[in-house]
Amino acid sequence: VQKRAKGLGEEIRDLMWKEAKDGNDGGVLRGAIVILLAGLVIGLLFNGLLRASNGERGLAWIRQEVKLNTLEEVLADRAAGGEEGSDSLKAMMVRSAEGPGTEGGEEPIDRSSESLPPPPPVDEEPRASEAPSPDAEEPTPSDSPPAEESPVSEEVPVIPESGEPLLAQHGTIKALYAGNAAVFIDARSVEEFATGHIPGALNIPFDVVYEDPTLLQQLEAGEKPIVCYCDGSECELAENLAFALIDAGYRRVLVYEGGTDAWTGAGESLATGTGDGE
Amino acid sequence: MMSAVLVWLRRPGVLRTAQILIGAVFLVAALAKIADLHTFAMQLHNYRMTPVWIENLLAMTLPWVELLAALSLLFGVRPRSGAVLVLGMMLVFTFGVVVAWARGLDVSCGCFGKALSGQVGAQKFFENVGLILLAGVASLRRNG
Repeated sequence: VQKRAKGLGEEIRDLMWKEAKDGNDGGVLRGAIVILLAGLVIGLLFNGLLRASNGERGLAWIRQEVKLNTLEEVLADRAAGGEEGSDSLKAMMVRSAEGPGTEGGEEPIDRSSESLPPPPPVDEEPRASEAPSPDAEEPTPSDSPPAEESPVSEEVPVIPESGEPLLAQHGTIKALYAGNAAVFIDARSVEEFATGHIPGALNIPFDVVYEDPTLLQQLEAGEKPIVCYCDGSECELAENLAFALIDAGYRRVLVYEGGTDAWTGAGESLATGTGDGE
Repeated sequence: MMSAVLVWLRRPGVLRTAQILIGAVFLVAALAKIADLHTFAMQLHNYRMTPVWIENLLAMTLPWVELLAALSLLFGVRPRSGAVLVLGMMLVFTFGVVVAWARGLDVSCGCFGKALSGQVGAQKFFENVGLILLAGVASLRRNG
């Protein structure tokens, strides 16, 4: 059997590489190399033409790794620049949740009146989002935001406007969550969302947004910042979605560094299911 | 038995059919990518298998290699060279799909640009295996 298998392997190899007797299809490897090199050259020339004619259609020759600034860095820079006054860092980072509407036009913290993104129309994208609703289903402990259970006492960070997404650590995210001061969006697929998500978060898969960026125009985040997350360092969906949100005109977009991994790592629980009765 | 199968596969009509089929698939894939290089670059990035700096270079050149290989197969100009190139690319693509699948990445395969782009997974793997077999047949030397 071994001998026959070896013979068959050699036969197939010969059939693929040896030239035909008439020589019409000879030089298999040489021809493949020529095609490869020609493709490389034409590709580079075509991209050069695209860049010359319309810079946005062509690709940058070398892709730069996008490194997001952290919220803390931005706030520190602004504080150092004196944009917000001498004690601006403290003022911007922390405002008492008991009086959020007194400065900066923040909405009162009241989850019952929260302006959450409505789910996309059922016939368009039935699973694209989940809008937590008090009467949507029997509330479970994991699905009940802390803000509903007890008066808000944590300090709520105020997120400055920015033309790019900002990375935020768990402490900031947790404070925003506890203060009901942000809209949380899970950028993963519906299936991954169902396996475990931050309670109360919406599910807007980036792949869906990528197909139809206009979906984001339906988002009604009000004055609240938007927190995008996925499931950890291997996941870039949150970052991609955050850039899509910036492109859509939102100016206070955070990326939760670590996502659900950081969330559970800090001892928080996840909700399961899609929250729509499934 | 196996030799008989190989003899049948090496019939000119069978070879030509395989070359046209795999060429058509690659033609569609190449044109879809060329039409939207940014999408293909992002899909490559999502695989996270290559250094970031090389992703755009791959995205701007790979579709043209696919296109030329497809044209060589469709028009019968050095078709076996095109088929061998397609076979090599399919092996690399399938390796990428398997690795992404094993890592649990939920990414679009990027096979046909934004259109017809399924997620990596078992279905995509078996589709690729089918295309590998087709490219393998297309690269065989004909009888005689």
